[in-house]
Amino acid sequence: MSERKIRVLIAKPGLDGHDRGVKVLSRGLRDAGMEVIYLGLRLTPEQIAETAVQEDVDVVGLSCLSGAHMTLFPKTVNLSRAKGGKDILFIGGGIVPKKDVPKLREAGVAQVFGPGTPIKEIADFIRENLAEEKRDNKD
Amino acid sequence: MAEEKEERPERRKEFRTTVGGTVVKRVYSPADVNVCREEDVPLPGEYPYTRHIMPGGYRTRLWTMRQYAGFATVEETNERYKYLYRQGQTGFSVAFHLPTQEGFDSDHPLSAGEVGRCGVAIDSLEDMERLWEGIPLAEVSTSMTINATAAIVLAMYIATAEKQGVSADRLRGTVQNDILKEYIARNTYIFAPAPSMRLVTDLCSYCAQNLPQWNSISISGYHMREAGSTAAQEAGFTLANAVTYVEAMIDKGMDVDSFAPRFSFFFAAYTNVLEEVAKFRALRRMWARIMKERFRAKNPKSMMLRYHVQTDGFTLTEPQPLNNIVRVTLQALAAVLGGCQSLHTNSFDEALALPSELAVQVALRTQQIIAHESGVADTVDPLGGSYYLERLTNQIEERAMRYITEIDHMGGALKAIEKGYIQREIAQSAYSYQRAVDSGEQVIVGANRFTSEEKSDTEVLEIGAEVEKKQVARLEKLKRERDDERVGQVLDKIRDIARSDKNVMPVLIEAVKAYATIGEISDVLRDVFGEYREPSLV
Amino acid sequence: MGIIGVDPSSPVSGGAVLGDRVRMQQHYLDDGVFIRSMASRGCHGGLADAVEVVAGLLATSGKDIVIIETVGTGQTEVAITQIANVLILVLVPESGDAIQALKAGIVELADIIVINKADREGAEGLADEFRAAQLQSHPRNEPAVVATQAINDVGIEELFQEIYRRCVASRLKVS
Repeated sequence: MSERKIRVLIAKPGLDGHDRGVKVLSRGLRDAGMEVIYLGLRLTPEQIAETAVQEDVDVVGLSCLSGAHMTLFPKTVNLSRAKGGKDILFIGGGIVPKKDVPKLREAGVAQVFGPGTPIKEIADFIRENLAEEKRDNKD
Repeated sequence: MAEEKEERPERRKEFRTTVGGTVVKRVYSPADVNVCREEDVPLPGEYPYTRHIMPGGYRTRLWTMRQYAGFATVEETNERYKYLYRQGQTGFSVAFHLPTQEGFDSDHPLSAGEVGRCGVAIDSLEDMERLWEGIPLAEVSTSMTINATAAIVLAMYIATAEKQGVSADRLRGTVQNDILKEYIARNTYIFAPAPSMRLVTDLCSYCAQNLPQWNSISISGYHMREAGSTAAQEAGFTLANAVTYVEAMIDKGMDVDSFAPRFSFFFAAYTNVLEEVAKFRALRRMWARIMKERFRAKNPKSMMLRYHVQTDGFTLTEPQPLNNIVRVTLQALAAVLGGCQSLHTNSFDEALALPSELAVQVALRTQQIIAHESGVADTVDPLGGSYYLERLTNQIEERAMRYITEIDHMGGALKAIEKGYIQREIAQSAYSYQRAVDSGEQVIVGANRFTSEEKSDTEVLEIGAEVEKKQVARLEKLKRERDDERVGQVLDKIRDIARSDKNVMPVLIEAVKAYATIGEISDVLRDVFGEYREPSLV
Repeated sequence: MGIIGVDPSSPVSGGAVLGDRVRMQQHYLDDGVFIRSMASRGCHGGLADAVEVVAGLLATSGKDIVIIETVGTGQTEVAITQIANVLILVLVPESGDAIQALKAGIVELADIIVINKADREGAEGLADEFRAAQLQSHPRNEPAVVATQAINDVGIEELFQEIYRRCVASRLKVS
């Protein structure tokens, strides 16, 4: 089976404007062979969810440094699922205190990558977790 | 006599100050200093002010210890301000939550989850008045980090002072008011560049005439550095933006000496101590020359680079947070050795959340220990004359000037931003940095080397969900109790003034006094000016 | 309306950053607009192999107009002529692309030429040059050069009319 290209949507929900991380990650995942749809800033969870489904992406990466992640990330996940994006792998990044990570996991964000995470770690995580999902779906 | 010439291999193939920074030689010597011309490094207080803008430096007056703070509602922030003052800070610095910065009220759909999170929630003059409860505005210096909505927020500050019986001419402080770097790196813009420049210059000229002790702008390199630029880029891009602001003010018909003395700056302090000191010295020299030679300023105050420094937030790590105390100490030391006028030191827990009280106390003590125990504040420009430093100062100046020239050739900062030149340069530097970190070439202690299995038990500051409810309820109450008709009238007036070429500040002061909100006023301006849309530049 | 935005895949890694959507934020929740970002995936004609199929699907699903945005290098992008009924070339003054386009004979292929950022210096002159080039190479076709300022919503209505006219005309030809 040939390598299917992994499509990743990278977006910043809410008002936070720090885009160094999303820009660096977009290039990094490109260099890891993935196709990254860079959606930009100041987006609502609705806009991200609608796009994720329309673009039929495998992964959605959300970034927030303003502390609004507990409101915005779960909402984005829920809306995406409701619109039909049930197989999407959600990952998050930004300024997220460790104690919020379990709650985000429960809300459907598979992993949160803090400042300074190596790109390879994120790329590997995506590959491993997508492969797992495919295996699960086969069963 | 046996000569022992031990040629040991060096630790690396090449040493640079930072990723993308200047190459560092093994040793510097008098030859490196002798290339400096005497007129480049005169005594402190002498043009071009390389060593310091004032002859007395910190011997006459220490830098202002100004901790950036703000969170939740005005009550919590007011308490934190009083705490910081009791702990010995000497200036205030206001952090506003994102809705205030981007022209939304706390009840706007886009504000959901954001209220009080990364700064204090300010929707109206009522909030501003409560923020300064018990703090006499005539006696303090206040810096406000506000850009797209700077004119509205300054109007609120002026109105608050008036209520305290303090006339505008006694107010001391700064508003950041630097919209160009928003398009480049910080992204809290609202309107397109042209109308935004009008708002910036309206504020500056209003201050030139009515608030003689107020710094009308804080032209910033900090955020571009945070976004990934090198030291030379930080310096070059900031001064290129500054040139654009000066030109805009001159186009407005103002004499350069009427406003330039109150132009101030804001830079980062990174961990490579000597590169930062060199950067600050180079900046002073470049600014003085630009103002004198390019803009023909006559008043020496127009040529003096006065700046605030914040230790660089990007360098803080999540793992092993106590390491950050060491980083901040080195960065603060660089800022002081470099001669800044004002300094904020980050707290060690800021890669996790907003600072806790304990963490911010340590941050403030860092400055105080440097000031009173280290001796570096007791002579002006203590590192002056160092072979390495003088050489590095020249090199950074050279590299920074090349960026300024490049931007000049493009037609100025606005054109360069439109073309995406500055953004692309920064994104490229940021990507190079990430690759250096991922490969291990750039060591980050505790993060990619010298790591440990650690328990994360740092107590972080929590902003509860009730903050948003409280603020929204407060806003609703305000709207019920104020004179809505009056608000409607003054909003119409703003629309008319915005469409004309009159200065917006007076009508904004009128509007905030009628308790029109940030969101309402911004919406009128959105109507007139339109909104900026992010171009596609990854 | 269906929009297919194609961006180049990296020849080194095979990955891509697809940034066409960023400029269309106001349509993310627009019921009438379906946007699909695609990477060229090694295809050299300025498109991706799947574009034709996807365009067909969008048309069949009820979209009145499907806009395909190619990678944008200009000179080698002839694959689009096989798929599109109306070929639009978008240029800006100041960039070297405009001169290159004139030289490379792309003008012969394009049905409509758009000069965006028409408030810039040189826009007038450029538009005139292209009109002349079109008349030379397409004596039988109606030339069209439209000046626009996308960011200020100037000229967009005119452009739409040009596109619409040609779409209708090309459908009549086919049937």
